[in-house]
Amino acid sequence: MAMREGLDRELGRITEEAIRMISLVREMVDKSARALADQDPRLAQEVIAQDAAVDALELEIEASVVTLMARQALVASDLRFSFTVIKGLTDLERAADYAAHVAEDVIVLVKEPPLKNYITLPDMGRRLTVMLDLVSKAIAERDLAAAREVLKRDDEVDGLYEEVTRELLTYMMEDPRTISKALTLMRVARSYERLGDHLENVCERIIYWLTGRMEKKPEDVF
Amino acid sequence: MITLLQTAWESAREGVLVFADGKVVYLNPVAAEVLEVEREKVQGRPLLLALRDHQLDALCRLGGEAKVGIRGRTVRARVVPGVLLLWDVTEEQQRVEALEESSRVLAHEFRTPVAGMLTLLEALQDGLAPEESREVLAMLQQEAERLRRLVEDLPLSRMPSKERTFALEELQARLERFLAPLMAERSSWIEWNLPHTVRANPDAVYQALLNLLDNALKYGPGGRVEVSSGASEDGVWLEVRDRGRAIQEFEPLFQAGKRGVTAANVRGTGLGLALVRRLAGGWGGEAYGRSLEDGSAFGLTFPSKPGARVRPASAPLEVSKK
Repeated sequence: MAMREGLDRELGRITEEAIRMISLVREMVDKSARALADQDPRLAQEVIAQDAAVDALELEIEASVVTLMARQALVASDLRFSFTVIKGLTDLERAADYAAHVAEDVIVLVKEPPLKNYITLPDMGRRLTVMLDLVSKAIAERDLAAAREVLKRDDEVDGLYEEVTRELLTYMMEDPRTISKALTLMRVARSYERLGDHLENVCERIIYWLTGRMEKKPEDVF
Repeated sequence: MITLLQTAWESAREGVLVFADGKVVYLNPVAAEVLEVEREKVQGRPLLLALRDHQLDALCRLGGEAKVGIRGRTVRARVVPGVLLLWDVTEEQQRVEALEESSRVLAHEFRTPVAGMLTLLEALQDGLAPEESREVLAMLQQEAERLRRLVEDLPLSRMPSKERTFALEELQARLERFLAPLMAERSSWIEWNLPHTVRANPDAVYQALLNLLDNALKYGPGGRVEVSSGASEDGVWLEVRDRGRAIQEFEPLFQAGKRGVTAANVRGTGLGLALVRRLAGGWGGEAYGRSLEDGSAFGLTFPSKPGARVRPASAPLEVSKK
């Protein structure tokens, strides 16, 4: 019994740290979207600086999980949870990298007048923060519906990505002077789209943890 | 006593979350709503699991007050040892932003006429023939009166507006005189073709048209600017056409100067057009932009019955080559 208590305490602590990491990534994504909409290089700089904190947290949490696995013979749900965290950490760390990439691109973009009002791209960012809230909820409340909702919302982000890409292509075809800026914006869109995919991966793992089954969408199997 | 306090907290209008040793002891319905958590799932569990926000978590440990963005809301948070108080200020924040926006619109609304009046005053100071002076003074008076009406209408009036049926042509002379300095500066001229009659507040139509013409003259390439009206059974439309560079997207131009809009944008701030749209809404019409073969058109519609959509595109384009 005492052992179970110790185990629960340790699992709880890891959950908390994971939530903290998601919250950090969320802050980075939120700031990157605002930096883009407001053309604010200072905010972008903050995002880049925060990336290191996420990297550090990744290693810390990973070490905790590895130690736990070494000490305890984990079974069933606890074992699935530990693997979910280990696998999810990598995706979250990549997600933070993409937010930082967006911030780096914002710093380049603000040096010149904007190509247009940036509306769709920050909207992608905002949708990602909502998805991150849902990831947190899924973990904290073991909420299967929240995890599935993330998968659904990622399709919307993918849709926006297509939309932005098409629009930027039109710009480039009509006026070659816009090419370099449009390419940077294209990269921002791509970063957000990839970020969403990583959140989707995390949620597939959460669903596995909660149900014991992997749920992959048919188009993702390849 | 305890139950009394609990009842008070349960019905409090701010979010209350009580914590001890880093764990949630209690939270009231408002706190659960703001944090978007289910109470039974987070009570007794670590604080961070309920807050899911590292900034708020830090605030709980350090105490103090902060405004944080969580779950898409703006929330004011205050921590006294063991208690986190939450106020959802999202609406308040939005109201402040709306107010700022309307101030910007207002400033814009005044800038153009005031600049015009200053030009006229300068002309007066330089000395004009008595005949011209009288004319200029009359214009100044007219403009000043219009601005006064603008102010009187201010609380974005729900009062019945001073609508009447009038010939669009009525506006021509006033606009032409008023825009003369700008036209000279831009080597532009305006061709008028306004044979229709509409029902609206003439001041509002004047203001909307002034903004459209101001844009066409300022941002267009100079030369001819056309003002035309047309009618279908759905109503009347009125359009300002210039030969400015092609515009990709019209819709964003009509959105009030939200964040990210800078003077460096190709077509100005878009603030004037947001105002034009609001004015058009006032008489039940719409403001629109569309591409022409060799330029763009910005226009207003005057539906003949509520809800009717006037389609200017169906009208023949008489803009092209001459």
